[in-house]
Amino acid sequence: MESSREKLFACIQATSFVCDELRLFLDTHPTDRGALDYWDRMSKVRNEAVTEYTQCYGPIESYRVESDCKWAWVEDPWPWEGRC
Amino acid sequence: MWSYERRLQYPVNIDRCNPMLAQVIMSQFGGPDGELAASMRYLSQRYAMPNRKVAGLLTDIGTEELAHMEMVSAIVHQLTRNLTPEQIVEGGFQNYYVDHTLGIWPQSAGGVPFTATYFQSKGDPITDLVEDMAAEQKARTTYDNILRLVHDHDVCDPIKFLREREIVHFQRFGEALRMIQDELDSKNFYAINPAFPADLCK
Repeated sequence: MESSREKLFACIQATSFVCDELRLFLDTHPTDRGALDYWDRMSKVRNEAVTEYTQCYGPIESYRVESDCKWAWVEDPWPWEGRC
Repeated sequence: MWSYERRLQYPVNIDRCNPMLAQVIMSQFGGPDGELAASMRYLSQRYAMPNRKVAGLLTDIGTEELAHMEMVSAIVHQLTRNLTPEQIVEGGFQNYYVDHTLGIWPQSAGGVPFTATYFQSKGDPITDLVEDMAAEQKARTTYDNILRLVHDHDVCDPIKFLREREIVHFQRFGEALRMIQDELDSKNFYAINPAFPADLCK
């Protein structure tokens, strides 16, 4: 059973990948209406998911680190460590 | 500039170590058709690219290649972490181990160190894009070769993802080459370097 943290992270991974793919497509097809609409929808969902994840579980992007009593950027496992 | 995101582009979760496989896969980090060469190639070539859309494509693909380099490094790291001296010898990993312990260092499967001579930045948009298309195909062939040797699903899965990205990048570079060719002047029928127009005035 996936935890809500895993579900939210999976949503960030999936929407980020759609954006990565659309970015390259739009570089060579900058006026493609369907791709532009898809970009708007996906980047909005991604942004909301990153905001929620950052608030609940900690930062994915270092610009979004909120300084509390300690620097949260270096607390969690790094992505290359895999499942722990 | 660049900023780091605390996630891999595609997940890498490998439980079973395999130093023999690690030595083969590390070629896609620092080998002749690896991700490090790919990223450095595209990020170096973009300055002489006169078409702004194509320069953007080189920036975005060069950036994605950095994420692929991180994935390949993560695969090698997870395949070799916590190895015992016995596993190092059984897996034929001793030659790498003696110089790098279990650190990640860019070399080919045959032990040749990474070198900038694996790529070119020629300052000619057509020359560079033709190299880029070939580079994507060579990397795809290398991933095909790796996949024939891998039987662990946890390793296959991210390698298949990386292989598919080579195909998409090849497609995008093909479109970029067409954009450059469509802009050629009719006087430049033989596609002489369009970034150095002085040649056409002779």
